Amino acid sequence: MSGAAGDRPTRCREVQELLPWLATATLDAAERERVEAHLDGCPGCRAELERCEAERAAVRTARDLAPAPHPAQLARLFDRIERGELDDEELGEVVARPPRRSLLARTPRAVRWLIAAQIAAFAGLGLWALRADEAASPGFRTLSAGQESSAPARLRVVFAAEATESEIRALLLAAGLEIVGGPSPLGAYALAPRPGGDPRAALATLRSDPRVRFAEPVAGAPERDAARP
Amino acid sequence: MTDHEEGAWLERVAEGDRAAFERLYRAFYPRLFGYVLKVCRRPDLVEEIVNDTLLAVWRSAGRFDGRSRVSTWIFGIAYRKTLKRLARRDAAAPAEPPAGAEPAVAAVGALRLERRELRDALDRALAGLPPEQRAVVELAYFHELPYAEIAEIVGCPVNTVKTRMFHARRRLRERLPALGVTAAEGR
Repeated sequence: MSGAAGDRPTRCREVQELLPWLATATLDAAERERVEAHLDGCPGCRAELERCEAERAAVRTARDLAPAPHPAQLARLFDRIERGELDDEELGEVVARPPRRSLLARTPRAVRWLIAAQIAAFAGLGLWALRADEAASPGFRTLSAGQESSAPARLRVVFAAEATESEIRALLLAAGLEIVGGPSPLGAYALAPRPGGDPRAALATLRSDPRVRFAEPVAGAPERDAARP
Repeated sequence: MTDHEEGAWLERVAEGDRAAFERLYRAFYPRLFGYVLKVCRRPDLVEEIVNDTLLAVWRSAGRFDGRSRVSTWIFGIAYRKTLKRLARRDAAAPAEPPAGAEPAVAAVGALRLERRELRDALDRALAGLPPEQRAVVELAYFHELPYAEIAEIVGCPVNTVKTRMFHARRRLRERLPALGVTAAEGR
């Protein structure tokens, strides 16, 4: 039963490389028989198998409970799906390299329309943002009209359809933001930090809130007055 | 979900079916969470890596060729996402705790901790391994996958999988000589 004494060191190494899978019963029948035949004559490898079983038991016993995903995570992932095809940069390195067109082709028609509509809406917002601090355009001033604090729009945001006015109000107050424009036809608002507010912290607050479907910095948000004609 | 069901759901995902994607998402999220956490040991990155993985599943479902199990394919994506993310953050990564210090994973306050001593001891021992070896240990012992399937997930020859496991176990033994006793008591 035992392996030939001369090749034992080699056999032991080979066998020991397989023992973890003997311990989990995932070797095929032929391999299992070979390993078990060796174990019959090799106390050292039998001890090693016991240790494998202890390791396996420890790994399985020591398991933390894996959490179920928070519903907001899935909602955020769907948001990324809706706009993500536009900034897909690294996919090719993770899965088989895709022809770029197939990505768009795989996007459902409704989503493609939504993406196009969002691009159009945000392009419009961006243009609008460049002019947001022009006091001479009363149409773009909302509740803050008459105050001097209104800053150029820095963020564009779409709230969840079910978010109530009081929730949005609380969220904006907490994040130190004010609405300086919108809504667009698609429901996008332009926001600016209140004086002394930190737009980056505000953005993080918005993105972590399930009532926010979309929050992005306005591309090329103007340094104050830079875009003024 | 059986393999066959997973394949059927993935096919629907490839057609852009969101309900199917949601179903796969819920089925895989907890499994991927535990796996990614064990491999990367960075509680602050796990959620991001898992969501990035599932986003890649959505985007590339149409390229799944059915030659492996769906779970093998998805775990492979998670593995590469994890290594890639770790490489990106290497400079900013907190150092592994010195021997005897609390392991980084103990910072996951929200997770239910059971059999804390064994967990901590094993955790400290695993902390000293490179992520490539931790992945093999996790896939072999926790997920109980055959070495051929692990080789598919981590994208290397089967002999490399066996060698990684062998070296991982050798290092675990150095760091956790009393494991046999501890494990027996823990059962």
